[in-house]
Amino acid sequence: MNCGHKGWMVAAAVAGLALLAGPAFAADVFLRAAVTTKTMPDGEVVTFWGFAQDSAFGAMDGDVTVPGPELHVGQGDGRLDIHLDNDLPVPVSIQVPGLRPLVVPIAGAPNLVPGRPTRMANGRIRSFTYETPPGNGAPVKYSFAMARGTYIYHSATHPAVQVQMGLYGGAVRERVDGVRAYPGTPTYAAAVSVFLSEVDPALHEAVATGDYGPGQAMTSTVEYEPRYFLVNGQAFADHPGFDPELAVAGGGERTIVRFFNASPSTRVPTLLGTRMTVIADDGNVVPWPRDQVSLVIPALKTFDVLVQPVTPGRYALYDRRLGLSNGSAPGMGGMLRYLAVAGPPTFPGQTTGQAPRRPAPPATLRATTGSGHRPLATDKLRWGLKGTQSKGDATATTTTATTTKARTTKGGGGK
Amino acid sequence: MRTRNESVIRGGLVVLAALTLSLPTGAGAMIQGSEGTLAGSVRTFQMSARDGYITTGDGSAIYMWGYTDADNGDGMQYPGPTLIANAGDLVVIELTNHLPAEVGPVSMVFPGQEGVTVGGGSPGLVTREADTGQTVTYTFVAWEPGTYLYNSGTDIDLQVEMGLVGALIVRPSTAGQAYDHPDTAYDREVLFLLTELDPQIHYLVESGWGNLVHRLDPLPVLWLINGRAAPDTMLPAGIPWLPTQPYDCMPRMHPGERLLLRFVGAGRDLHPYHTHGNHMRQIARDGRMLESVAGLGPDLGELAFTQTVAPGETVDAIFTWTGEKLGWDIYGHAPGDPMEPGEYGPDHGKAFPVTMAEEQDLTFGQFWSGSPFLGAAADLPPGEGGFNPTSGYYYMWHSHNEKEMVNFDVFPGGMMTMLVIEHPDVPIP
Repeated sequence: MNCGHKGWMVAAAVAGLALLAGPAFAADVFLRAAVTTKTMPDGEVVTFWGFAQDSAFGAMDGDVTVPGPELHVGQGDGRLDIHLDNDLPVPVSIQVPGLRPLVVPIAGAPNLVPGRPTRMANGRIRSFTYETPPGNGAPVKYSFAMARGTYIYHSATHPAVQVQMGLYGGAVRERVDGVRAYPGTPTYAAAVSVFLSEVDPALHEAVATGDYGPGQAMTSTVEYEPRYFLVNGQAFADHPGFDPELAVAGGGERTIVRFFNASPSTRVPTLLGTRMTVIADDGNVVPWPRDQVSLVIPALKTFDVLVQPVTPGRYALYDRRLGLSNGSAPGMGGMLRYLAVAGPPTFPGQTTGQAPRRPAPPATLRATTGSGHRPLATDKLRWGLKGTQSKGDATATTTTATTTKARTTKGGGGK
Repeated sequence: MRTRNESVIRGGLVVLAALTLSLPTGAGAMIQGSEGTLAGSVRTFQMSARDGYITTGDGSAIYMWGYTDADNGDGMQYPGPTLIANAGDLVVIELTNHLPAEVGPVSMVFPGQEGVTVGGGSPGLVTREADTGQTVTYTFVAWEPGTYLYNSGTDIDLQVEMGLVGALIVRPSTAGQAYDHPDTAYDREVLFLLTELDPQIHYLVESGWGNLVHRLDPLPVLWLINGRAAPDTMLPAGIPWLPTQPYDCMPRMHPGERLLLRFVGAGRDLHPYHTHGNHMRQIARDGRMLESVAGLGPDLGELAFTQTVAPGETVDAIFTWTGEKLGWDIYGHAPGDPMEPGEYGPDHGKAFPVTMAEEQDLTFGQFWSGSPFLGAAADLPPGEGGFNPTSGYYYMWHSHNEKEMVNFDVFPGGMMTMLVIEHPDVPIP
């Protein structure tokens, strides 16, 4: 490295970064915010605001769902462009925590600048970013630099109300081969999403009937009382019409389970019969795999975990914060599902006499390279443990240089 | 230097009489529980689910459902027996439902254990269950040492609230260690099984109005460690007037010892458990060492003075205390005096940094022995002190969610206890 040119290298590196940040391809998604209803297991019909994915703006050919459609962005797409159609009576917008929002240039008009919220007539703000007005005639674009990982998109307008009403969904970018979520992490044979949310039907009723707001029946969301607890938009109901299973690979093969929590509360999904290995947190690979039974997932967080069950049957996954009832209906409900390995629908090894097998060790990870994530230095050498001393920090891997020195030449980054 | 009229306790005889009055005598260095019946490597527990009442620090009697084991006869206990097994045991648990018929079925689940097989009973939603009078048998190999939770798998939100929870401890092949690594060695261990309680739910169930229970809106006003609300946490284990709450939580240690804390989140709320006196070092979560690479031991454990204990989660941590960083000799030694075991050497002989005020200018807490030095007592005005017969150092260990340190809004109470650092000559059973 030629130190005399250091300033030039830095400037060029910055220019190179800016170039690299301009991705070659974008995933274009046409989302429409609209009203929908769901029937809860106790018969209550609740009004929601959800998202549909249309083939084009105005096509109206997507189904409105809560959670909204899970967006999968391919390996080659560096940008996620959401073109929003607002069929609700109020303004909405989109944000994706964890993804960098990009300025959207508009020909012949001011740019759309994320983080510059539309102001109300009285000068106040109710959004984190620019809004899409109700009944917009042209799509409003929200653009994000797509990073590898698992994210939640949701409305950034009046979020205390709109997120609760159902304006949320998952967004995932993974490798093109669909078998490995992050570099250095183990491959998987199947993928499952567990999207958690809650419903306070009193809020939905007030909003649906125009009775929410100053001077109305419900003036705020402070007295939040969830009555229903949903997984992938449905509460568990023990009747034949409801499929409680999430199919996972068996025989010791791995399945990635992507957890999303769009409820305002911390939820704790807990597994029975097998364990989970956490590999990523908010789309960031964890430095070391974490072998756990329960997953503490606060509001708006995502986690990626791997499971590796062996025997056929159902492995119960339930919320240990006990969101396990459906309103006032008797029996268990709410956040209960089964990770199911194809085979007879019994609990693994339900018949006695089956010799217990030593379970497979948890999925192991190599220390990641190139992702910029390194284990934090620990003070284990200073701890002075009884017995053998720790052998020191695992060798930190050196990230390969990601900056370029100039547009046409590639120099070695600092080591 | 020691001031006048202080007496340093030497030998245990002087102290034992005082000990029997107010300090736990049966707790021991290891956690109490049920070891079942061992035949070869098959360890069998005969358990029942029963109903009964517990007493809380404000004098309430609360109706509960709890697990119990064969040693308890017709009684129930809260929490359920701490099941203790050795790694590699084939654990067989026969659960018989002796709850009132209107309760319906009951069961047990073992989060963290793999390969659990179930026989008998009838199919429930997450496991097989025992109907009234029936027996269901759960079998698994306890492959991995660690701290685990068990609770009911039936009507989970109600049955967990009503008390059907307990801990399972699997010991490694090397005694005195929590896991298969010498860095997890300990001198004493303490269980912290954390729950909360909404008495309204229990009153409704007791009165036969269980269908009116507001399962989604519990409002806990009582918080418990090992089934007791402070100050009962500090009563001895097995005390006769708490027959359904046999476990205590009164950690005592000598300087230099390693105390293993086994946290079990058995309720539905998260609790930030706070250890005054020092940080603790996390060593494991959910029964697995916080280990980066196999063989390194718990190198990923962080120092924490507040440990979040989430429902369904278990955490193990090691706490040590030597008086390090106080900056003065905790025994009031002169520099030439011999060292005590576990003493922090660099502070040996350092003078107490302040001049104590006269008694007329002081107010006293009940744990003040009259002297700032460990194991030393001194003059106190009549009626003062008395809660510290061994002249130890008392550190409040509690949920740092402050509202949880009450019994029905009355402080002190709830999820709280004391750690006592005892002079090395004070025997801790």
